Amino acid sequence: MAQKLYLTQEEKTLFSGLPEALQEGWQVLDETLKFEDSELRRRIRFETMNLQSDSLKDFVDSLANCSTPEEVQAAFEGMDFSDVAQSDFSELIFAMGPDGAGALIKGTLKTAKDDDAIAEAAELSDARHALLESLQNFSN
Amino acid sequence: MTSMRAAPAGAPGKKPDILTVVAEGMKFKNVNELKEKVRSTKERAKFLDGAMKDENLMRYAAEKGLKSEEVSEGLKTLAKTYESKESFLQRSWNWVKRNKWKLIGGAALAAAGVATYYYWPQIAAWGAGAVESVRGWLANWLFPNAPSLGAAPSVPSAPTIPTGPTGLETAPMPRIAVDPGTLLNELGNKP
Repeated sequence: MAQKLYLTQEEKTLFSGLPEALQEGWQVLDETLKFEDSELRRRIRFETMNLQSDSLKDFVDSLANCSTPEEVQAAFEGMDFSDVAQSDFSELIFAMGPDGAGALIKGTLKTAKDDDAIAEAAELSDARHALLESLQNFSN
Repeated sequence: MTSMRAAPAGAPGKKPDILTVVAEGMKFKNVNELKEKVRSTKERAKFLDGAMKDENLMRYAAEKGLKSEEVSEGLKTLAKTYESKESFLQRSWNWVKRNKWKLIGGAALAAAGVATYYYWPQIAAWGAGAVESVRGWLANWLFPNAPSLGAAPSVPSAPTIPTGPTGLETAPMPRIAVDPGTLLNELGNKP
């Protein structure tokens, strides 16, 4: 069974511009769910992040103590993702929101050169679709 | 469960943080206690209803410069965020397990983008040039193959994923090549 890609109109245009060999074997579906994000909603999603990995927690906490751009850069350079917990990926995608996930999808499609890249875009689109479904309660 | 550190304090003259005001107004020890209450309560709607009718809270919020509509909106957003998050975490488990290593690059991106967005006002308070300096460096660090956006000291080599119980082979951390301007704008990285 073909793996699905949930794509917006803009993303479908990107996908259809790829070589035919890359497009084969994928089922493209319209992403029709919408979510109106805002600074408050993004901020609260970030506030509710529950990270398990010590490195990620330490990294985000360390940013609060930075007072110069160089210290921020040093904080990023010190990041270590070797102990990232699986649950942390979901936490990060949720905090980033559908717009951020969409940016990752577009970027992946723009630079796709093999099936692995399309698979990555498909997984991200699946995550974004689940995210959009979950956020529909904001419309109620 | 360890929650995130509370938001950095805003600059003088700026509106206070809604969650901080609500936590103080409702006599919680801190914001984390308020968040935990909203997250864990089985009667979320009832708690929310009570909070929005809490005259002491609204009076306190007014003293801090917040309108009651802003407080209500903050509380509703907090409750709905936890509802939607519970739903999302259940739905997302399978794809996380399937593609953990493929998404590690995305996780790094998300962590950097989310954290940077969150602290943008703090960075902006350091003065002119600070935002562009960090933004330029971040873009080059995240997207080593993309055109430079600004000041960029030497980019560190990508961290490796060690072999472990998951069976992942040691490999350079994959980087998703994304147009930096588009991504940073969509993540809200604007001063």
